[in-house]
Amino acid sequence: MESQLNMVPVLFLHGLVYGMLIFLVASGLTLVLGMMDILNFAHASIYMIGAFICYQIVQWSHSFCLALLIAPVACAFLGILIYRGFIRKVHASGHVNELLLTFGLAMVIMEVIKWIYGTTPLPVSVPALLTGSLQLWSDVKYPVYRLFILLLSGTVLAFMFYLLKKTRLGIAIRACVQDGEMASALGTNVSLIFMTVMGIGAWLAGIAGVIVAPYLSVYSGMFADMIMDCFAVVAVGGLGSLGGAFLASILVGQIQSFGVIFLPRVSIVLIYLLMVLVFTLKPSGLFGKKE
Amino acid sequence: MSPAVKTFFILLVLVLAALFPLVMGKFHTYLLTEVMIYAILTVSYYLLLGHTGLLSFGHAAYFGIGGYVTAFCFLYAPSIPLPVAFLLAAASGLVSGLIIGAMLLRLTKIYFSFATLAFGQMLWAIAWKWRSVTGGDDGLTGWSARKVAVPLLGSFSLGNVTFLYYLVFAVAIVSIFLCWYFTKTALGNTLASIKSNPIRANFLGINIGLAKLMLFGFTGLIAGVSGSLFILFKKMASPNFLDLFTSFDVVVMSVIGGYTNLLGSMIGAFVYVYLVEYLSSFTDRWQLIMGIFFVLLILFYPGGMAGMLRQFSKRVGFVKGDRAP
Repeated sequence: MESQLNMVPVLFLHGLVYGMLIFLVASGLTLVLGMMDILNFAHASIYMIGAFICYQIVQWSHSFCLALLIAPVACAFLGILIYRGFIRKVHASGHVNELLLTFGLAMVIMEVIKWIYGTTPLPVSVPALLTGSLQLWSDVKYPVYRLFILLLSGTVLAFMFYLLKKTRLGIAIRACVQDGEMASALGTNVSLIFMTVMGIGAWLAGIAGVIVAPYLSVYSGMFADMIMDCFAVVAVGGLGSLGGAFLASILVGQIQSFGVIFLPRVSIVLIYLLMVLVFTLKPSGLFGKKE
Repeated sequence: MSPAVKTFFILLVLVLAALFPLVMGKFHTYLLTEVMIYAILTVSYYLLLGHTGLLSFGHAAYFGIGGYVTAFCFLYAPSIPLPVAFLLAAASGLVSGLIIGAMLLRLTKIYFSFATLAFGQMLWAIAWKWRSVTGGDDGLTGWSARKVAVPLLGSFSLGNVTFLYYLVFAVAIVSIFLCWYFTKTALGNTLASIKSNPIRANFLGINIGLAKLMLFGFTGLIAGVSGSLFILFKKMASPNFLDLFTSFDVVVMSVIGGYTNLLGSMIGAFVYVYLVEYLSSFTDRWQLIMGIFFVLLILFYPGGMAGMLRQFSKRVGFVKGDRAP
């Protein structure tokens, strides 16, 4: 028990790191959901593609920095392509077709990835600058790379909150989340805002994909692992609520991190149980506002 | 199509299906058995998606539950006769449909899809982790092949492909007929009205919650039955039968066939099983081909193969004018 208690701060940090990663992906998902009522299955595929682009770039150029710059941008374009080329085409025919379409796209993307890279996990080495561990306090050491993940995702998120709360674009986005029709009537180009949000969301997912690559390695099942966590976050956090999604991400991260150690047999059930409970007891989400 | 022509076609298909094992070899009999089991499942799914407009990503849950209950009966209580095990599976599908349904009542649109996904995954995780009861990853298997006594005809082993075919055939006819009949009842009409406008349906004094609950129970029952047959067919139960990907298969089958009508759901099961069989025999990338096919259908032919068929028969003058589907 002594050793398990000693692990608590480390586990907490693990949970925080994973929570931040989930949030990077889930924030785009929840914004799109809040705005367009689209549950984009393919969103987690973009995250996976980000990771694979990162792997490829590191293979070619051995530069992680380059991957960190290029891959998210490529992902952003992919996100926009998915919106303009596919989702918008079936938007008129209802949410069932939209959902089915993004689901089909996710399936195709996963299969293409399997085709090109196979199913074995591919390692991406941690950049030399970020290897090793840091002595945090008395006897707790923590890998530098995970601290880097915290730092980077924290920075990106701070930037996102600034964008949403302080800029004109952010106001327009929030207006569209709240009431798209009204925003459109007041002269906002809603379609353009949608596209921008898809792009930004995909960009964030791409970043998550790149920074996760050295941490969890790159494999074709990443998509499925991430999508359920993301869905849990969106469900628990309340649909379309970014603050809620943040708290929920941290919560899910902690559940994953502590669950695996303390309740190894049921840890996998915990997340689903949480989702089911929230859905049945408070469909608007734990942190969401009432509809 | 006039009712007489329709009846003729239905009878023709039934006669062909009944003669099928006598003419074709064991291989196709085996495949068609699988088709029919999936057809029961997709038709029960049609009631949810096509008829009521609820997109579920957890339909495999009932399928798996029915299957596991059958396997439990075979393994832990071998004295239970097959028909009773079968009824128990159906009842467990009904009960789980009612329980899960009761929790999903308030949810609509994507939130419903979401929650069904969570429920399905939760059941999968339980089946996967609860090793002492469900066998975990290995699943349940190893019961002795059973003999079933059929009145007038003698007794047959369940291992007999032809016998299993006829058993599944009989159950499929009954369950698919029940599903069709379900859409024609007052309850079926109520559900159709919920699909087209839930708010107005509510205004008209329809108890939406109750109607949906009965629907969930009924689809659970039918899916449980098909799950039970699937266990007889595969001779094992595995957590895979109720996971995400089985649920996805149901969605894919329904969409390929055309989820907006009952015939389409059956066509979907047929096309899916045969496509998988033949594609996988000459390429490992069959899932990719299936995925692309799926996306193209959604983009250009949301009506699926059944929609294509309808369009084609309209073009050649087989069906006159625009009839409400």
